[in-house]
Amino acid sequence: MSKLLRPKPLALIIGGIALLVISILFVRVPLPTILLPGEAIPGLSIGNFQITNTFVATILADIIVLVLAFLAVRKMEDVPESKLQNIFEWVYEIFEGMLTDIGGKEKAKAWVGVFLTLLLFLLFANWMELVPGIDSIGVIEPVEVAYAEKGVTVGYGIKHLGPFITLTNDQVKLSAEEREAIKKEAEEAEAAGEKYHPHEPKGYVLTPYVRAATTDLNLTIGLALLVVIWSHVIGFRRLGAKYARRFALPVITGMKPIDLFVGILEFISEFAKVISLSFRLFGNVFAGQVLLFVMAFLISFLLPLPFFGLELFVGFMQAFVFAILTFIYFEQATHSHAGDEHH
Amino acid sequence: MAALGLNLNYLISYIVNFFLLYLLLKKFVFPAISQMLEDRKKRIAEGLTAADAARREAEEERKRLMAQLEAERAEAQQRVAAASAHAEKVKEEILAEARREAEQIRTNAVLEAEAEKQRILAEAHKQIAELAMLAAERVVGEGLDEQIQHKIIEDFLSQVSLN
Amino acid sequence: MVEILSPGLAIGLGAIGPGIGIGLLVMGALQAMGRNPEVAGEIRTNMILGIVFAESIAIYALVVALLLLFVGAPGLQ
Repeated sequence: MSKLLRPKPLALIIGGIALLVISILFVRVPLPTILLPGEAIPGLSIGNFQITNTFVATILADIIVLVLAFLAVRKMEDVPESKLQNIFEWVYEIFEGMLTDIGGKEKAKAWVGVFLTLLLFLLFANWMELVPGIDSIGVIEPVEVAYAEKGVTVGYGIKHLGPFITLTNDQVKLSAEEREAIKKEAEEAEAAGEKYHPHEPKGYVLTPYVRAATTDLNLTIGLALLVVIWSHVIGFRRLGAKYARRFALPVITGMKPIDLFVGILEFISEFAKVISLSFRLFGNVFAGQVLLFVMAFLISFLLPLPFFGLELFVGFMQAFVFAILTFIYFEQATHSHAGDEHH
Repeated sequence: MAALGLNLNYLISYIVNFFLLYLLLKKFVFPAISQMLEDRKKRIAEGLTAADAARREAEEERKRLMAQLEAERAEAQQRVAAASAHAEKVKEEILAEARREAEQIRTNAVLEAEAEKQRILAEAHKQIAELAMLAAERVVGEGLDEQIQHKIIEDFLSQVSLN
Repeated sequence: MVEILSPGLAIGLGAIGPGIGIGLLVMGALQAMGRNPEVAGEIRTNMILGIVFAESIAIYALVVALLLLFVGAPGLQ
């Protein structure tokens, strides 16, 4: 207790409490609209392809990875002067060693590229949820438009801050009658061939320009499908007909009934792989993002801080888990069962 | 599925996007890093072997030098031993010479002393005889024969020398 | 009411099992690391993989909860 009464800790404690009080009384953050699909940024499209904020984040993550990687290998030195080169070499060496422990030297060498690409890309895609401005800078639309397009029912008031517009904490909920009216109006506008716009917006919602890429199911399911199909391609290439046997395809004769059963299980587990891989990544990052939203909504200062630390860890862990599971699937696909030779 | 935001266009674009990223990194980045690590490993191994060889060579050189030194030392020792043996011999010779000379000198001295003694004795004989003659002449007068005189003296002297 | 309750129950009940499982897994792994610290790295990797597999059960619950929340069950609305 006496330690807490010394000037420095005391000042910190009082400052912290003051921050909490200020944030509770004056700085209230609206709870962002939580939407499962990546949100289309209004007025940003290439031809027919509507660009979503998660797509922007994906491109950003790509650019970050590529820039860092190319800077790291721009001029390779035997005695590295640049820290970046050092870090990349270190990462490469550590993970190659880890993969060697799991799958042996030859396989580690062959797939360390896939592993590292997944790891780096997902790492920056996950960590993007922590960057200030992402999820909070974007286009402000009337809630009616958002309801007609995405089914959002909660809007907020707006306030002008110089050249910028910001949402305030005044919540507006669309009642059932209002929703009906909006639906009808939107249909009419569509029939007339013009863009629906309410006469007098009740509230506004924010569509951020950038939202962490892995909070879009399209990305995670796409990646999971890619790596699972990839693992089958690799397995078929390396083991040939023997590989098809593990799924107990009826083409291969001389099967025991139990093999058929195991084969069906293996077949189902391939779908489970896709689902668990994609939803694990998506669920963790999406839940983390919602957690950060809610914490900032409750008390905007100090309270979210430990959760940022947590999300930093979760972001790395999920990227690592996705990458290492990919490697393990690849390894399993090329692993010829010892029992197969005896059949 | 649309409520979950699933859309085939996005799905495919994400897959293509990731695959492009993979190809770019695979083509330009990973081989460079792996090459660098491999090269460095090789160079370190080479350096270690070189250092090992150098160490072994130095060890051999040291052994050779030690053997040479040993040989030289043995030779020197031999030379010293020969020299000292020679010196010993010379010393012996000199000593023997000296001893011989000393012996000769001593013998000469003894002989001389003997001769001197004989000479002095003879002298003394003569003087004593003359003294005795004189004494006897005084006692007996001049009557005594020369021959008898001599005989008496001879007797006396032989008695004296016998005593 | 049911629309709100059902996803909550789905994820809440679904997380019990994986929670216990992950706890047991980490307990076992930590004991093993304590007994032979020289293979701690290997145990840690396997522990993370085990946690991942236990966690995927919770992920299925999450999928169901998300489906209930955003898509809705047939006949519920």
